Amino acid sequence: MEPPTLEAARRRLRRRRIASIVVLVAMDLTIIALVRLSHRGTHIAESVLFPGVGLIENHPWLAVGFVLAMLTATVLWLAWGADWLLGAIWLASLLTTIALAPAGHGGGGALRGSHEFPLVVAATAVITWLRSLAGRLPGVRRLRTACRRRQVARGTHAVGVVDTCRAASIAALATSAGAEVDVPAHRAALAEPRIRQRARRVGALARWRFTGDPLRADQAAVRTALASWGEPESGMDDEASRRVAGVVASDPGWVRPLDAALAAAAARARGASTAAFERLLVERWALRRSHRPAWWYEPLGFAAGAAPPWEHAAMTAVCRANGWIGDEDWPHLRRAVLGAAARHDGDAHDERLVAAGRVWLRHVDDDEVARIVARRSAPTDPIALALTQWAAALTDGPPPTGLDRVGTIATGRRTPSSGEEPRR
Amino acid sequence: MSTDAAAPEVHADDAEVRPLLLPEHPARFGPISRRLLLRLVGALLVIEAVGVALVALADGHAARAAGLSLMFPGGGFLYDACPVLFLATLALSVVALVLWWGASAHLAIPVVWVLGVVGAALLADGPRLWVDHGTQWTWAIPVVVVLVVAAAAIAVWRVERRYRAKRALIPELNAYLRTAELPAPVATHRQPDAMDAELLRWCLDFANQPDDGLDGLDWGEQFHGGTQVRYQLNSLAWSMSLFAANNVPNAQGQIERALRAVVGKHTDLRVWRYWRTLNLVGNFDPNPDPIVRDNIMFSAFLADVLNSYEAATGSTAFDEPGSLTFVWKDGRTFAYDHHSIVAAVRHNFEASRLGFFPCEPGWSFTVCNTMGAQALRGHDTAHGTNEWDAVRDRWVRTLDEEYATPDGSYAHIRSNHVGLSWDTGEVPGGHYFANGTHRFADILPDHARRARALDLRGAGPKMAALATMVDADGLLPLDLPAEPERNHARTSTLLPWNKVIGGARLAGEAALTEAAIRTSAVRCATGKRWPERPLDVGGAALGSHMLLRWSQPLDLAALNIRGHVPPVGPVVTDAPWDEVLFLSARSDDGHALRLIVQPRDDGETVPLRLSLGALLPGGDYVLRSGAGEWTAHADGEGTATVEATVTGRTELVLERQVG
Repeated sequence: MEPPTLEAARRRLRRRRIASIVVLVAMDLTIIALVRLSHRGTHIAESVLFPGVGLIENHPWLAVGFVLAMLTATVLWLAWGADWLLGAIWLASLLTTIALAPAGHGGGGALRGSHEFPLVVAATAVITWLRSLAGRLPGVRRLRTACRRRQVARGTHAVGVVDTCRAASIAALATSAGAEVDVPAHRAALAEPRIRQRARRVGALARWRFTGDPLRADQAAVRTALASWGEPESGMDDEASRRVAGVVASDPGWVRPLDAALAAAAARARGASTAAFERLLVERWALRRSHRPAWWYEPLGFAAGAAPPWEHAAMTAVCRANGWIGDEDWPHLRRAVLGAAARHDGDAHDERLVAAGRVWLRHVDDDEVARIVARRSAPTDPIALALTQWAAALTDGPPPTGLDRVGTIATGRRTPSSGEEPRR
Repeated sequence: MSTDAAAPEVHADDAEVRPLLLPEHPARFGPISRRLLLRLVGALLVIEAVGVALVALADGHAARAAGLSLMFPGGGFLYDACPVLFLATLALSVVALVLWWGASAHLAIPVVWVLGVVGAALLADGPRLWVDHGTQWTWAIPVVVVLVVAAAAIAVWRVERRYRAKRALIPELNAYLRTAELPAPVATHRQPDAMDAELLRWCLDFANQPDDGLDGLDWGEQFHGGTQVRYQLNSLAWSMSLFAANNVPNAQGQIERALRAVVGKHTDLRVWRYWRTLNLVGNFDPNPDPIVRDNIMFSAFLADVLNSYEAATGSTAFDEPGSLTFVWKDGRTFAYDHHSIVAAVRHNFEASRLGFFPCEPGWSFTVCNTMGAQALRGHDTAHGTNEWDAVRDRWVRTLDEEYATPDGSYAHIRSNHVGLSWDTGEVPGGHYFANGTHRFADILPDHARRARALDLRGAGPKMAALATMVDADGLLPLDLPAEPERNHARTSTLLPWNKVIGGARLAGEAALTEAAIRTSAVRCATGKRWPERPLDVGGAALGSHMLLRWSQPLDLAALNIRGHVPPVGPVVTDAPWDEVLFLSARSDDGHALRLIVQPRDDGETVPLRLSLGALLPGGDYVLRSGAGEWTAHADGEGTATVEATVTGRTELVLERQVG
């Protein structure tokens, strides 16, 4: 039986999905009608399909401006959840096209436009893929990691707000498992003005929250870290109970796996319900083709992408430690962990992957990986360090709390009960 | 110094058995090399014949240009009135030659050759830079013919001249070998001095850094340049093994732990990842496994390191399956152990048509294959197998027929594909009388004696002259200029001293050896500690220096022959290994245990709690130093604990109290 708030959230999500489909169908019909009615309609239809395209013939610079604005808005949407910006630019381009589009010459533009949009999507995908490919190239990767090494050596390496908070949340888990962590450093990091500054910036841009507490909604990483280190949870549990994911969003609209797992772990430690999150793990964030999704888009309720190996490993390590999943991820992670342990190029993601592997090794019996991972020295990345400290505490301390539960979790596999021998 | 009763038998033989004589009528090439060379010559003749036919019989400029480029790389460009392209082809041919040797790019030369043919044909009627469109220089035809004949003549003349010059030496060398007296080897135990303590401290600090730490080594390219991490690790492990066997056989807890860590560092990806590139380029094989195919420069060296480690410590840690697991950067694992590495080396020997198998794909080096033979021999000693016997006859045949030259030296390198050998510049003249860390002493004693005699023919008188210069303080008043390291990245003042110490040891000049060791410590000390080096030298040569210092009485060959022998007399089973340096722990008479220890940190006084074993059950023992005496009573199992204090370098003697 689901909690009433979760049931209500799921109903809302269903309604939003239906509304989205209705809007899409209406848009399609409108485009068809516009094309058939007039030449100006063709231009409008082009701008409906992709903002600014309908202006290319007569106002090329304006068209380029809309395209650039759209790309920027897309980046801001993906990074901070500023979804209204996309809609605003779309609407502005539509109105501009209605006002400026010429009244008549040859047709066929909508057909062209309808081909252009998939092309733009494809081009975006290709650019993203090329960027990720370039990031993996030996030279680029070496340059990037060498730069990071130099910064770490000089003490000038700046860790982002989200990663600082994630590290603090994991360190809190480590502390509760008995590890000795640098408590003053974590508290000091969370007290830095930039933590709230980012939340305020994101809230203002994405949701027009110019006043009040910037942490009153979303901001899973920051709020989880603060709550884990003794700050009041400031309505996080209440907000989470109204979300289908069962956790607050990382940034408006977006739920990212590690933030979600840490938020759920912290909620569990507070005694709050994690049923919705566990259900999300089974239904939407399940392991498929060796991956877990990279994100959950809250407004429309879909998960997609493939989480980077380190985030997959760290997120599932948290889930496994809490008993929300079984060992099914480990066979897919172990080779990545081994590879990361073998590489010595100072890459922060490798350090995190190895550290997450250490947590996993607390729960699975894999001597080969344990031997290899044990050869890696202490990491410099704060998330990796916190994971390592947590893993060490799990090794030395009592079994993690999740292991005292018996249940059918995720794939239906059974986790050991408190009366059973832990695997390691 | 004390004479060691456990001096290796190979040394004892040296003075009594006459060195092997050289064959009176050596062949120019061994049968396999000859076959490979004939195949190469045949292929070249076919190419030349096609080229000549195109030039002489085909109608048209393109065919003629292509034919000339077939006859001589880029020759057609000269016919096409494109001298710049001709010179560029020659330059590319040189680059291809270097890549062929350096990176096993076997297709590099054929590709340049073919490019020359295709390019010349395409340009035959094309535009020109400085002359009219479609110009042909017909005088290029005789020039190319002259170049071909000259190149062939120079190659034959160089090989033949060298062969005849060496063959002419045979009577003289055999006469020398018939009468040569091999000096007794330096087989005394050296008392460790202050520099030994610094070097041991460096080794321990290096080994005790995190498992994935390689600080203290030289870094650079990992193919040929002399900065290979693998060789630096090898030499550290060998020298530490010698220290364990010669200096602290009765207290190995400290050195064994450090050695195990150094051996484990061989599995670090940075040490062996070069292999995937070589395997891909040279064998068209993307498998990164560093052991299974070729790469004897890694597999055999590591197996030899394992032999030394086991012989020195008796540990079987690396006999366990998977104890040496190599992990590629995509997470693939290659699990090995001492046995499986040796099995791979033997398999590669047996699979090689030449008899020696390659380091870099296609190139088999004598030194590396000697290490391979040592690896099998040492494994046999340690585990009672017959790996070396199984390949020995074929191995010796390859050495004597394919690699030997008339004066008793061996070619450094030979191509497995075309049978060619040349001077790579890595060793003087591209030849040596012996190589490998054991110089044939364990695998082929007869060859070892001959090589030693031939080396001494030049070095002996020089060493004897140097020995007269040792002064009353036991120092060698010489100023030796710094020499460039093999990696050419730096010069080192210790390098020439390494040569003197090695030469003195080869010549059996004990006083000169000791004097050179002591003087080098005075002249080359830097006062630095890990990760800097206590001597002015690069990473690889530091290992060589420690090998030379710690090779008495057992050297690596003797250790490989002897295997592990449990120590006699009392042993230290536990001690504050992290606080105290154990410089010496020996029981020469099997009764008294003599220790030399010093605190790890300068100027400290540290408690020394020794757990002792192999005592006479119920016996009363006393531990004496200049500062005091401490007593211990052995229990029924012959163990006891004694507590002393140590300030600075301290000599201790543990003896049983009688009466």
